[in-house]
Amino acid sequence: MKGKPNYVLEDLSNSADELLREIEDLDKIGAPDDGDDRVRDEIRTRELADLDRDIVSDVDGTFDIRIAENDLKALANFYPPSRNGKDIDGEDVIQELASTDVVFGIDRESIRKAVTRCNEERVQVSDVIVALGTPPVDEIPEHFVLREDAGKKKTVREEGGSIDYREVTSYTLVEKGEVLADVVPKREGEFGKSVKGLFLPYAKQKITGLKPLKNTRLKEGRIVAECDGRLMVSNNKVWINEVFELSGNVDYSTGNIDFPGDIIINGQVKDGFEVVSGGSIFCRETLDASMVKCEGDLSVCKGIIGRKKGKVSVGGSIATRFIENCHVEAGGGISVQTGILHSVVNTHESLQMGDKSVIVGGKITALNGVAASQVGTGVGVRTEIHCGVDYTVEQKLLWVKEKMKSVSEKRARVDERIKRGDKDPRLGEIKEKLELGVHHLNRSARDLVGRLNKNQKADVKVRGTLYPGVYVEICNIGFVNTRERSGVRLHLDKNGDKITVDQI
Amino acid sequence: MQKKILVIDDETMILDAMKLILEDMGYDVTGFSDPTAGEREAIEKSYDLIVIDLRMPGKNGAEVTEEILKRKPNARILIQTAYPTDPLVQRAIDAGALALLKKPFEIGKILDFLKD
Repeated sequence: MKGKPNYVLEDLSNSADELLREIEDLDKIGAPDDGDDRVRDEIRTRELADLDRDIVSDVDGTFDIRIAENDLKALANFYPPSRNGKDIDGEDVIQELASTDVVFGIDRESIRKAVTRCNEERVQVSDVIVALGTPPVDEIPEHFVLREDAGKKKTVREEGGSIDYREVTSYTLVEKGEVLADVVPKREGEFGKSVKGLFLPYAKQKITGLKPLKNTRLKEGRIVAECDGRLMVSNNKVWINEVFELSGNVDYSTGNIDFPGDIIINGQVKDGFEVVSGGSIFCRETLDASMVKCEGDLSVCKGIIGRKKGKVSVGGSIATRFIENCHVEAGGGISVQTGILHSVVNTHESLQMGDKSVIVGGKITALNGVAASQVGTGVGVRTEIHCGVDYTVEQKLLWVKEKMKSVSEKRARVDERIKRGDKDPRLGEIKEKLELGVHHLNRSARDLVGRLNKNQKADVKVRGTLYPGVYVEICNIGFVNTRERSGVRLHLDKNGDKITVDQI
Repeated sequence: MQKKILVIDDETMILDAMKLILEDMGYDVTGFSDPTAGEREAIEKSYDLIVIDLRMPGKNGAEVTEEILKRKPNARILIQTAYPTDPLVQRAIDAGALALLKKPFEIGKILDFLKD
């Protein structure tokens, strides 16, 4: 049937024929003729065109919002639209904030900038603060704060220059009238406001400010030193220890020294002189320690020389380079740089020796242990180390033992006289008193034994050589070292009934 | 100027400990565990103080003291021993040793002689 020409159909028919021919040509791909070139060229053109096409279909710009830091912040991430995707609308962000109850501190400018950048540069913009609350301000009471530069300017002269004691020891010296601390006035608390518009309560900070004690006073809202001396700060208390400073030696020109505060000796303590301090002692040279006593710390820049008669008793810690032929006791730790030679050294804490150091001869008792480089000698000098025990209890036990021996001897003498027929009535009284004494001593001994062993975890670390013959005792468990060992740690085993030696 | 000390002692641990402490105090310390080598060193070089152990294998401290003082009468020598009643002590003192140090250590006495 012939009718009006149908152009649409005709076009469709033609294009279909052309397509079929193209498809037929497909079989020729790979063959070296003209048809192949045409198909290949078309494929290449299409591949190039594909480079400009989006991999996925068009995506609109989007964002997410999260609330952080106890409702004090709202943050947003903005994700860009694809080429033909819809841009993010800043107003949508504001609406989304409202729907999540964010009503306070909205930062429209940040939102605008982030949205513009995201839309225009097609980049993700993350962690934008879109709303910011006001944090509460804590209430702070009035308190004193120590000046950082307190005591810094004070130096003590020595030959060839000056030495700052703050650098070489824990000493901080201050002068009379020097301001030590300033008052920080009370700060009132202020409520905060969350991004959701809610008031946030403030906290009342508890600050334990400095409390001015001995030799300090309050002046115009400041703590001021009332005398020259050593600045002491401990447990939120500030005070000044008076300092007695000697430019030279303790010798016949000074006599013995007994001072309630700290003593600084810019020379040495000569043999035969006594030094007693209610505070700490600092000695620039050697300390020939006939008798040295202090309630605080003892620092000796060179060494402590005892000459087999010297006694040093310190309430705090001791720091020195060496100790020789001396009896030394410290409530705190003892630090010795090079050597302890033939001395009795007792501490309620630990004994720490320098990297290149020796303990030769003598007896060390350290509640919490000993760390040294070399201990003992290859020859017959007896070296003992006792750990884990309280030396004061041990000393009392020895005293009790001696008294018990003495009482027993006296009782034996009384018994002997009674046996020989001595009828003196006083003998019975004496015997009764001695028996009472024995009873007391026994009771004390039992009590002391119970308090003797205090630290089963105490140990002895020898980084260098532990020589044969050294005797180590931890909580009264003994160990005699029979061979040369290097880099070892001696400690109680888990049952606490023998000493184990481990390599460090 | 740094004072120089020579220590002659066959017990190397004692020698090392003395060196450690005296050097830490700023002295220049030379140690010999062999008495003959130490004696030669003392004669050839100059020292402010010489510390000599009394009982050493090969040559005792009294002999070393005698030999050094024969060649160097101004040498200042301290004798060191764990046995102060040893008859060699008197021999060394008679030879000219200044004093006796009781072993293992009497650093204080050594320092006294260095101050003089």
